Amino acid sequence: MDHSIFVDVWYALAVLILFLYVGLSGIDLGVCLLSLLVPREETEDVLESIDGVWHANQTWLVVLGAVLFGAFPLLYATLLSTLYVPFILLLAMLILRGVALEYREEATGRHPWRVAAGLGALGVVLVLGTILGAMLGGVARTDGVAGTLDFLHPATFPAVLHLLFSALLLGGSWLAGHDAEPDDAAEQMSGNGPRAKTLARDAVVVGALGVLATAWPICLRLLEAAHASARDMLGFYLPLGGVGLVALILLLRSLRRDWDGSPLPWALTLVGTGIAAFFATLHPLVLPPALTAAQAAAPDDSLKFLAGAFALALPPLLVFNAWQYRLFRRRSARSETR
Amino acid sequence: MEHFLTDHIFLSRLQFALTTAFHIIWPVLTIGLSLFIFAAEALWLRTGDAAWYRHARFWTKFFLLAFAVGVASGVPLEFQFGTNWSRFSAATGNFLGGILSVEATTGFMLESVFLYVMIAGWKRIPPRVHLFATGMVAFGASLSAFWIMVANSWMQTPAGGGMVDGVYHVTDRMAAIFNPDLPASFPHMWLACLTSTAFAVGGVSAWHLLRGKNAEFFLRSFKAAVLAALVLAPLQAGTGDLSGRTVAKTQPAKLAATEAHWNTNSPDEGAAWSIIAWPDPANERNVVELRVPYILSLLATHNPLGTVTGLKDIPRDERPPITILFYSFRIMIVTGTLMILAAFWALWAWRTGRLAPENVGKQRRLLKLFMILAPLSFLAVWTGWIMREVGRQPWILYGQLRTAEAATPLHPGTVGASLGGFGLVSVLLLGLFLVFSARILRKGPDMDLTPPRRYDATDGGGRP
Repeated sequence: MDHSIFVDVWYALAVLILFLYVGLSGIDLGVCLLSLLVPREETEDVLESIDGVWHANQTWLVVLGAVLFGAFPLLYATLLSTLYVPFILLLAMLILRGVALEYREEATGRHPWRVAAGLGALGVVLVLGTILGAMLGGVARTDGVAGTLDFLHPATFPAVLHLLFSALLLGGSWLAGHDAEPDDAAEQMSGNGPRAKTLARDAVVVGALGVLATAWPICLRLLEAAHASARDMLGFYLPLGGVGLVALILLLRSLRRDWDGSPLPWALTLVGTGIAAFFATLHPLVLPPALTAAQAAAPDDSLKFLAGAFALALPPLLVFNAWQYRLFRRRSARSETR
Repeated sequence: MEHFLTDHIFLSRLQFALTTAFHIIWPVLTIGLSLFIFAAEALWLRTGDAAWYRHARFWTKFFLLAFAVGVASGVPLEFQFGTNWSRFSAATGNFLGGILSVEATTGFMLESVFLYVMIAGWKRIPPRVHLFATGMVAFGASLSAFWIMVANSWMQTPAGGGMVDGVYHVTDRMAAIFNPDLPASFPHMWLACLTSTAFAVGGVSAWHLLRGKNAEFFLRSFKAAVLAALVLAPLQAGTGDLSGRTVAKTQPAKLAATEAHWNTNSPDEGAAWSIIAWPDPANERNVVELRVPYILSLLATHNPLGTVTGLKDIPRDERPPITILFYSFRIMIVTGTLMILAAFWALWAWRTGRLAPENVGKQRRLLKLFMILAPLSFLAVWTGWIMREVGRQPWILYGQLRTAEAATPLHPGTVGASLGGFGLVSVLLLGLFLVFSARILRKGPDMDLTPPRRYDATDGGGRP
């Protein structure tokens, strides 16, 4: 390959940031989805559990957008213009969910706001799945016409389902792990009710199986686009499959009552395995059938500047992020603001 | 000529203009409020005065409302570069994409991570750690503004590289970041955030003082706003002057259009400044004008005989619209002047004892002026930006790339639909913000709020 190492570094970093967004925001999107399914009196407790973290989670999407703009300008320009309609819908759904979550606090009748947050989250997941599906499934093309409805294509379905199951898995794991310490008094006060607890466990199982079941057709399609066979990718697939299997076993074990700890790390590992498999298969393409990372990338000095900036900014940011999670992991964030 | 409603480029411009105009309100408030809250919290920790603690808590409620709308309206901006201006993003991603990435990670992400520590951590973490979190939110917000102004000023005065086959290649990144427009425009915008917030806080406080509700509490924030305005409003005039001189040097077309100035003045005669004018671009003249000699030269060059290029010396296809710039600028100047006068009026009232808790409610005219200036200070921000962005036309990247060549080739109906959607959402969000703000205002501050113990205090001063 005649392109610079920085193209591959940014390919990997962009996938990492995609994972941070899909993995972390999958938690709060999934919690919003599940809030639609629990009895009315438990909705607030379920939503309250993510108050302290969803903003920062969502910000990874902004980082992802900016990084694509900076590192792969041509991909950014092509993807966002050809998928004009889904991106505008995504923005609408993000606004709906964000405002509903934030403003429900001050609203007099709070329930409609909670439902709006749940429906907004459902919209975000479906549209995001469509966008990912259009990208991976070869629907969004460099020679495509901007702003059409071409994105409504069956090839996007596996990705839509994949993200939906990911959100259920992650949201369920968050809620299932959220009351792992029943001796915490505050937790019991505002903790998740019995229905939410059962639902969360079901969501983890269904989500995990769904994530695995939908990952395979996506990989097959990508192999086709990359003109490769599963055999060529065995070097990737075998270790990734191993990691996925271990994560699945630990995930299911962590749902047992005698297990001390949250299922969340294993759920994140599982989702991460899927994303790693997709982009390892796609590499060096960024947009099937023909656009490669090297063609879409900014010149070397731009990538170097970005790499330097991220080497400085990312580590403290991740530390702060982890600290914030520790702080808000157990108790709901809002209970103190009242 | 195409009808404007079937012109997808015009519609994309309108959409960007509308979404940015709506968005800019919120960062202005969150940048200013985060610094105000930080100051109040630091004062509480230093003096142990619980009133400062209650101020920090009270204004944090507004901060959160504004932040929520700011995020909701800000994310669409980043995506619009790709959706509506794909040719622009492909051409400038090498620089702008990198800057926006740095903005997202160092500014916005820092703010988001510490936001809830600040909102919900009042009793969970030691006060000093909380102050650190508030400081990081404020720092993140201002840093964000810096990088956004880097991006925008580079679009005004692109530097540090050049166009190669339709794509901008950066050769000197520092020169691109610290481009000629930045030293004037970043301070001007950052101070605008602080000044407008000072007048927003002043206006809200004035409203309460007029009604005699929690007069003592709001007198404190009113005086803080007056003090801030006294420093900031005149400083803002200074950075504005610097901005004007930078524009005169770097974007003569923008200056000429803003002043409806047609003929370049001869070296022995200073350019006159029009107080009012109605331009007639087809015939290259002003239908009506009221002029003061020498003033334009003095303003633009600090020399009564300085040369100011007239529009006639700028090719027709490189001239921005005139009327909108002319009046935007004048609205900004008038508002800014009113803000300076209001600050000094309040100082005079203060010095003569008329701002004492028992008689401040009688200062009806002063308080009403502050209430009016709260929205007007945002009008000043809008008109300033209209002048800045419309004045850059017909270029999207000044002198390098035309706006018309940068747009995504979209169907006008598609852009029209999204534009309508954004318009509707903006109105709804603004309505929500106002309804919820009114609710917070009616409820007033929680005067029973007891601050957590300060870790360094032994005098118990933190408790009322």
